[in-house]
Amino acid sequence: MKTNKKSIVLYLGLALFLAAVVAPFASSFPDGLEWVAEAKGFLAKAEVLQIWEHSPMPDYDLRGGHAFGTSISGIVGTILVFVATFVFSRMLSKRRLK
Amino acid sequence: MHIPDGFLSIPVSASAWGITTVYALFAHRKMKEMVVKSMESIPLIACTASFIFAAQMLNFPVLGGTSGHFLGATLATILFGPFIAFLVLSIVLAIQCLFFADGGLLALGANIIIMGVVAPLVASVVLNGLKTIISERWSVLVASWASVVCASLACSLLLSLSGTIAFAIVTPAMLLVHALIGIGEALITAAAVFYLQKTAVWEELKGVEA
Repeated sequence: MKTNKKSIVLYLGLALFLAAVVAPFASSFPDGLEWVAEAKGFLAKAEVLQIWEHSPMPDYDLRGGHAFGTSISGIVGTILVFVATFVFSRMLSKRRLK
Repeated sequence: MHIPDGFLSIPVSASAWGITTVYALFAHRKMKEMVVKSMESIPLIACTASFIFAAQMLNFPVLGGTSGHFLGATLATILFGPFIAFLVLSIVLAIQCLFFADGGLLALGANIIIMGVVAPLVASVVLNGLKTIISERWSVLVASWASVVCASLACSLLLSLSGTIAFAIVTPAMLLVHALIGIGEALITAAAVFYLQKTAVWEELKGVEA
């Protein structure tokens, strides 16, 4: 049993395509939680803590906005998630079962 | 939008981090067994995490002026079981929080409980419970929908425990909008599962579980 390289490339390619090409056309309406928070009057409680101020790509856009900000953020995030999950799973598998 | 900081009280956020940590310790052995048994599935797990991250960016409109996006807990649970789903969702949520300011840092524990613990466990229970009763197609649809609706219920509970909003006020609104978002979740999950079943990936995964 070995993993088919072609299906891996296709699968990751699909993720990158969604993040880079489709994401800029996503709906910008408030989502479920945001809509409820607005309707029920607690949206203002969302604190902009330092995490936001130091975030490299707040709200999936480059700082100050950019024509391709969403696509760039999407590609960076997709690759980051792939690498993090891969490395973490490898680490898990390397350590012996007690 | 995931729960930002400020929506939850400090005790609720801290307890959520505590519960997440205990669950991670509990899930650790099961996750390790899975990846040790099938080293070959690691690239597929990483691809699925990437796919879920990308798909979560795609907000689709639901009822006037609102949107929803894919969660992916049921998809990950169908492919790898609820504990690898926990791992995948935790990584996605942590990266969304740290790099994209989506979801608060204090609230990350709560976001992980809602989307990485509750949603996959609900999906797992529903999938197993319905296995012998209805066709696989229908059980995938029902599990996806239920995972999103139960996650929104868990979110309502944490918001009300924090004293942010009364349970009786927030819950009907959260359930209503997520019952609609859950339909999108069900359709996307079913499409992904039935697409994967036609590829070699599926055979490999079933080999893993056997």
